[in-house]
Amino acid sequence: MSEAGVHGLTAGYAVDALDPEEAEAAERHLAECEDCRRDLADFRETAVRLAGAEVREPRPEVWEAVRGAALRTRQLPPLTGAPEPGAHPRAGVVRLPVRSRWLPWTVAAACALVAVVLAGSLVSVSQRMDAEARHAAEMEKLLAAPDTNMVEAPLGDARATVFASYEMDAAMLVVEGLPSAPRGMAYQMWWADEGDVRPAGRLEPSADGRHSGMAEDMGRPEQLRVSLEPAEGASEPSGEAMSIDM
Amino acid sequence: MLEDPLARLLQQAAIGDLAAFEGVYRRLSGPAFGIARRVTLNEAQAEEVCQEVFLEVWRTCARYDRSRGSVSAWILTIAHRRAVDRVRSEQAASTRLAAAGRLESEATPRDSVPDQVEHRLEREKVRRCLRRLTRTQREAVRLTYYTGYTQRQAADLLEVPLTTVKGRLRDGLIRLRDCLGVGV
Repeated sequence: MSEAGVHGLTAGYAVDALDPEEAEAAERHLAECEDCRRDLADFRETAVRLAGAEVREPRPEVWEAVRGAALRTRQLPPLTGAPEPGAHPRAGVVRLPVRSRWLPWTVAAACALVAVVLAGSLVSVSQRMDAEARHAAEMEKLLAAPDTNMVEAPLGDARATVFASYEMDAAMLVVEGLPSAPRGMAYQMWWADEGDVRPAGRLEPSADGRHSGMAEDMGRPEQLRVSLEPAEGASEPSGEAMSIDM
Repeated sequence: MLEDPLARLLQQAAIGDLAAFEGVYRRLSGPAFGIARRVTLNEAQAEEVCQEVFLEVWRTCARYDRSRGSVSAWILTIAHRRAVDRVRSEQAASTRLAAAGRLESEATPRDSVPDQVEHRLEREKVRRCLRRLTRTQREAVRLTYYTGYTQRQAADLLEVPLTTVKGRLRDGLIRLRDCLGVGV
């Protein structure tokens, strides 16, 4: 390409006015031309000023949404080579840190489950966002704990997946195929060991029909149980409990 | 190069500091949303662009390279590109063009009084500099930066050769740069 043509590309590149092929040519040229890079930087600072003349504050809800999504979004490490253009974020998808003792399919299954649960929480109204974001942050912390293990097991006719960490003293339960709780009722989790049964928190329905919940104060239980209880909560299981061996 | 006050905040944000990230957002969400709104001519789309932009900033802030320009330039470049990507993927470009007929922004920003004064001054300065361009340079800047057309589309629309538009855009940006005192 001629010198003039290439210079024309720098200005066009700075204001995103190039076709994809031209943009590639511009990037190749910019990598080799220091003067052009300086021109590009100047044109972009000029564009900053043009944008500065268009200032308009977005509604507060926009920050709430950004914040909520940020809490669910893993940050990328610094890059040593060239930047990757066009890497689009996928809101709400939590990537699990890959650990060698986990088989790849296990990690993939966990990612899929958590992504689905979080996607369910994304449709919530803005007042619920803080609670949802906290919940997502807790989950992410649990999934990132060094000793977190995953157990898959039937729960009645449903399928349960448990992520448990002794270090965090907590577990997350995700259940697929559990019928909706009748009005005024909720699924409650229990820790059971040596004949002792302790309440472990509630299972919440998510938008896609799954149920999930964080069970804290785990200790060293033999089983995690689930039973249907009045929505306000029970101190001991009243109905018949389903159980997962831990 | 002068110390970029946002660079430090961004560095903090890169290690997961959400308060620092909010600081970056507070300073740049106004222009990012503003330019997205100007390009898309649509509040809801501009809000979506704004969210996408800052989520991308959050994800990739460890990869910001200060040797390539200021934090503002980095973030507002992302904002402009995403707004442009949106309008390019739409068919209704011609109706947007009609609405974007004037360069002057009619927006009345909803912000605090001191900020309003500062923004008004900045807006006035930019307006004055835009007026100093030749009519054809202004057209080239308007159709590309503000409307989101490619140089080729602008050339077709103006019925002039592509090289003419390239030259006008480049000359226009140089004149704006000098008028606004960028890079001195």
